[in-house]
Amino acid sequence: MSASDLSNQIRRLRFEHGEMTQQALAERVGVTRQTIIALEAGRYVPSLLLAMRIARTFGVPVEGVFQYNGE
Amino acid sequence: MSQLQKYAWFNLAVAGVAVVVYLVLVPIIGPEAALGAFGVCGLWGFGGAFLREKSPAKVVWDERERMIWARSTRAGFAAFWGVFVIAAMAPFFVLGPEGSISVKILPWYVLFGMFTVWVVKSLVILLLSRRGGAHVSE
Repeated sequence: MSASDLSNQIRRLRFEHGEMTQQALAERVGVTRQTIIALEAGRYVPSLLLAMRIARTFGVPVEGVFQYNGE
Repeated sequence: MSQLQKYAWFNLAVAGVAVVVYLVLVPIIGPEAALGAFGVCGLWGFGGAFLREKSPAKVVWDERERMIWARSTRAGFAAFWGVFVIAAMAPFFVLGPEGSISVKILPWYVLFGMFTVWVVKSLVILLLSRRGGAHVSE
């Protein structure tokens, strides 16, 4: 699976949650801001654990954050 | 810039300084004695300071950094193997099967092997960090 197979709504969800900054989200889920940047740009596929942490932060299911576009 | 990128730039700066010092010393003390300039690379030992947690709130290492670290280390040692094979085979082809080399060359194999590891590893860290780390987590 490549990063292009996975799209995400992190940027939109951040703005819907009080315009949360990348740094704030990074601190909430325990990663660096660079990782959030890479995720939003679709250049990095997170681990299942990180995906679940992000989804829980926004209060949505994992599918609400990440969408698999592959076969 | 992430702490890992700072670490990589530090390593490359130290390597650059070592090469410059070597080139400066060659005309003064000769190419063999000037190899001592690579002792500057001992400064790499201080690079770990970039990777130390500064506060519990600020994350320095996460899964992406760990993956970049693992992949860059693999790339560094793969390059080391390439350099080692070339260094081991070159005397055979240059001097022939009956040729001989001084054993004092062997420690330099190790030195330049490790130099290769650090430089390639640092370059790969910068490359993967710029591209977003990698395509898939491991």
